[in-house]
Amino acid sequence: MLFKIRSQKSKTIWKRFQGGDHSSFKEIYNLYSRALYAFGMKIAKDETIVSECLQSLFIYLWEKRSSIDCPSDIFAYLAVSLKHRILKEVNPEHPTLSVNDKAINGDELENTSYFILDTDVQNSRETEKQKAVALNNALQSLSSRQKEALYLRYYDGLSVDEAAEVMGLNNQTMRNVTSNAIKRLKADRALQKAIKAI
Amino acid sequence: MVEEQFIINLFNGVKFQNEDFDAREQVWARISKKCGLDVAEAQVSKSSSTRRLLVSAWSLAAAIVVIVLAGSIFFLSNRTIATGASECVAQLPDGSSVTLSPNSTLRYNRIKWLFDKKLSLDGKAQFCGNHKNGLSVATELGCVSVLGTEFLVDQTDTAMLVACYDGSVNVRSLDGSDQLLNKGEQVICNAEGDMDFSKIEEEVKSKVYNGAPLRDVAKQIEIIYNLKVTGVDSYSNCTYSGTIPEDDLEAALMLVLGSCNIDYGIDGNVVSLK
Repeated sequence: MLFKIRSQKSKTIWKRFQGGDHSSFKEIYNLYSRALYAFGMKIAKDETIVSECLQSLFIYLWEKRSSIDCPSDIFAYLAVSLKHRILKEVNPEHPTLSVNDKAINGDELENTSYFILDTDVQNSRETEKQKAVALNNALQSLSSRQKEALYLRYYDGLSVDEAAEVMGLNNQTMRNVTSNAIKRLKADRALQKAIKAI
Repeated sequence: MVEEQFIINLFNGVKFQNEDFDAREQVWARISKKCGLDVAEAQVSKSSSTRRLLVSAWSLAAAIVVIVLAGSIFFLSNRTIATGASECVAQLPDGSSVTLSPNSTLRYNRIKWLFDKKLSLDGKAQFCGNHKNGLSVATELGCVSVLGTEFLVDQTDTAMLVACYDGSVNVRSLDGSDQLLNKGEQVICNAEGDMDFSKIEEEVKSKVYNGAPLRDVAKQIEIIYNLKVTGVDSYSNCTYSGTIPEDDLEAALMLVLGSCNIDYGIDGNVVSLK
């Protein structure tokens, strides 16, 4: 499920939204809310928290619409905003917490990330299910930052720059994180076996 | 690139847990309420409903205007040619001519004529001209489809005489039976649908009147049948176009007096017009 939701159209919608157009605002919500929710659920496996953070994010957007310039990538902007809100919600003691903080990049984020694959997808072949199980196990051996990087790049379909923006990393760090994650996956024997079986 | 393709294939077809945003609409409803959009949306919805209603009303009004206009044009395209005591020669839209006998009425619609060249006749009329594109004459007792160029239709309350002088015509009676008339043939249809086919006798055809005063025609009947016709002076304005059969008094009186809607009685050798 790749969320390829960047388009010139979304920039036009954003401009209309800035002008106070209700339908454009709803269109932005319809366009990004599913992907944002899915991403939010990777950070906090609590649908109430994610829904409330998503709600507060969009209310903030509406209230501050005239002062928010059109982001270079809308999804990346919304995703990072949502991420901050969720982290603030799950870590109330660190109200200024950001992904650049060491605490977040360490154990605290490890405990609050949920990149877990659905391994019981209906109508899929047995070999596909085995691949999903193997990939899921392999993913759990990665760090949260690596999982997030792979998720944003290859599941949500963001570019290196966009994913880096969401994760608060520079371009080169983002590339390194992604590359190391892929190497570890390629080295996973169970995963390789499952891929060959397909 | 190889690494990228590897990971793209790896993620292809997989799905992460907890991605279904079931509360999506509820969350939007809350956002909408907090931002005051629900009231605005309701107003927009109401306004668009009103707009839709207005558009519907205007569409309906426009449709009614179009229907009324079309109906009016169609109605105004109705043509009625009616004769009183004298006959009348009129031109039909296809350029052919019709001689309408006294007390007869011919109706057609100029728009309908473009698709269906059909006339409605009450009384008697003689059609002449080029009808190569077809022509139908409907009466209460049958329908005559023109295949030729010159024919006579004489319809009274009880019978219809169709005589073909040139070309051919098809006569359809009330019961749906057809009779093709060629040059020199005629048929009389009655209300039961019976058709009496015969040849037009030369001598009969030779006595064709064209807008002759009734008194002259009555005089000729007196001569042919050796009898007296009374009460003709009361119909001094009446004229007659057509033939006088010489071997059938009843048919002759029906044709001549019937075309003028004149009732009559026979007492011996005296025919009294009422």
